Amino acid sequence: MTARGKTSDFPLQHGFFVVFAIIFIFFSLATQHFFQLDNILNIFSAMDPLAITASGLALVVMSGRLDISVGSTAFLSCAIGALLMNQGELNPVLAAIIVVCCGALLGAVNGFIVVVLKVNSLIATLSTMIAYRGMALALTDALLVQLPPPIRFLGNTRLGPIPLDIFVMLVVLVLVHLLQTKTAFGRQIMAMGNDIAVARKVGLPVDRIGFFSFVLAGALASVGGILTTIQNGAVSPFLGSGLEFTALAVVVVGGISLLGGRGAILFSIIPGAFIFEMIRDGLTNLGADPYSYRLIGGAVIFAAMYADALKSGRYSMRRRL
Amino acid sequence: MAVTQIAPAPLFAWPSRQRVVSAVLMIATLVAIGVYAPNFFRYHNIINVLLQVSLLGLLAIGMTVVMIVGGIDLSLPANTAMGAVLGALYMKATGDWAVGALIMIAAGLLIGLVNGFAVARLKMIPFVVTLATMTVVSGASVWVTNSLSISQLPDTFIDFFDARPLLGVPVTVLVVAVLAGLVAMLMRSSVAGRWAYAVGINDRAARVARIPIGRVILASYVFSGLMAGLTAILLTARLGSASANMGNDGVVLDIVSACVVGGVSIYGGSGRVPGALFGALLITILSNAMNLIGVSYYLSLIVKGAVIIAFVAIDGRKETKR
Repeated sequence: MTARGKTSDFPLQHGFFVVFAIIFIFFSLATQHFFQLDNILNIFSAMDPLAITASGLALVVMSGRLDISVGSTAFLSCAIGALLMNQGELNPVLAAIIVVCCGALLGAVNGFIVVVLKVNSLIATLSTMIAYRGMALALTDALLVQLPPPIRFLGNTRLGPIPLDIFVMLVVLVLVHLLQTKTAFGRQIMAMGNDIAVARKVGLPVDRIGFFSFVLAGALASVGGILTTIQNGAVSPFLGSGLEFTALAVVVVGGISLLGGRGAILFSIIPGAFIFEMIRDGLTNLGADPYSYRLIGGAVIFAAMYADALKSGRYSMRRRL
Repeated sequence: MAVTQIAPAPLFAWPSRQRVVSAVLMIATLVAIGVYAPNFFRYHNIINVLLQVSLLGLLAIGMTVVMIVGGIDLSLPANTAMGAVLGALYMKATGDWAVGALIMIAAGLLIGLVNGFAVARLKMIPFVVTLATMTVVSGASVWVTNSLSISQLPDTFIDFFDARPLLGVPVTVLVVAVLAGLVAMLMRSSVAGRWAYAVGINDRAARVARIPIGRVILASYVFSGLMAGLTAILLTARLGSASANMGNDGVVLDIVSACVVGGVSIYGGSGRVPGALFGALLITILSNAMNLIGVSYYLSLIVKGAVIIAFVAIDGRKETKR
């Protein structure tokens, strides 16, 4: 067993914040508009869908598995919701509930494939990632689905100076954080991520925990999808494409080990998501080529993964495969 | 418990469940094509299908070797696109096709080397490393090309690599056939091949047996990089242009499906090159059949996803291995 908790994470958190501070100061000095309250709030608002999706993914990662279908799950569930609102003239609140249920259901399909059919989680979710996206594209004919007018303006709602979705993100993240730190389920996920064989021997319901971690990841991905949809006012055919990789990167950059069994939601996801949005925002302010984001984002992922490998120390090639 | 089997297999053995299922699937697909689209079986079309199979198969050979050693290389298509783009830019600027082709190979080798170094030396997780290189490399090739495709390449380049010297069979098919035979033989009978299987089956035991694990892992990624570079040449010659879009996400899925369907285990240590080629054949024919019957592209993605899950589910070796 590896020691967990604040003390063992501290050196890495420290290193992370040094990098964070350097980037932050660089952008603040290099550009005019970066270091302003409005812009910082914008970054927070833009990172909400990413942070919520990543928090769900984090639960799966902590249990020692991967879910790379989160982006497609968000797309498919939101596409269903938007089509129901447009064609069935469904009540928006009801539609949102249906979207989350769809997300949970798609997550349950992943969980079923991984837990019952015993398919490696990477391959299972790689396949469902493509399959869900295929379904969503078939449903929407790969066209933009506009939201009905009254909801389209929901994206601009503010409480005082602060966009509403920041509160949504905080509430969701705190809930997931409490679930992970204060409940039996959260501790069981950690135990499972540390060593699934031991967890099974001790008598933990490993299959059920694993299944529900996928269900939660699916549901949270669809919540993230709803926020994206409201921010954009429409469900675009590119919704959530590449989100799985960014979300995974957020999880790891924030200090949740890919080998499972370590990390905390709130203090990992928020800085992790913030650094990615900050880089994007800062590059935009610098006037950098939009095509370069992916390159720089990839480089950050690479560095973060390397830090993770160093930190874990233990090495097993096949652990994630 | 999982029983691991090292090539060569006994001469007479009951075919595994996976082989039976894939053979049945192949026959069913061919029958469906025969009923709905008999034109498929014309000589010209079969050659074209073989060409597609070879290009997918070439990447699948690279992936097979990496998977046997126990890793995965998601960056293969991105790698191909990067090589193709760089080589094509050089060719367009100078008109020197031979150096252009060499640049494609070199780009592939270099990216493979980075992957291999990160996995073997920096001890990073293969899936994550190649995911990161995939993002970086495809980002870079989009950046370099501004998402435009590079055409009007030298005619000599296209004539040379897209020639059809033997009964209308393209160079690509011949190259892949020869290469597959060679790699299959090396994996089966050479010391390096045995090392690859040994590392994939159990890296600790391999270390105890004094196999240079680091070098074996590094070599597997460099080899897959080489395959990506070769694919870049042949694919660019066939299309007559290069673009960053050559390496889209769907291709990764096709490669992984080809390997998995062909009986290459994602847990390492088992699988063979001819199997992966058969997988590539099955996946290509399946896509073509769905296309001919009029199934939409999006629906065919769903079918492919389901096929992979089904094949991994009937794979004898389960996740409990960790």
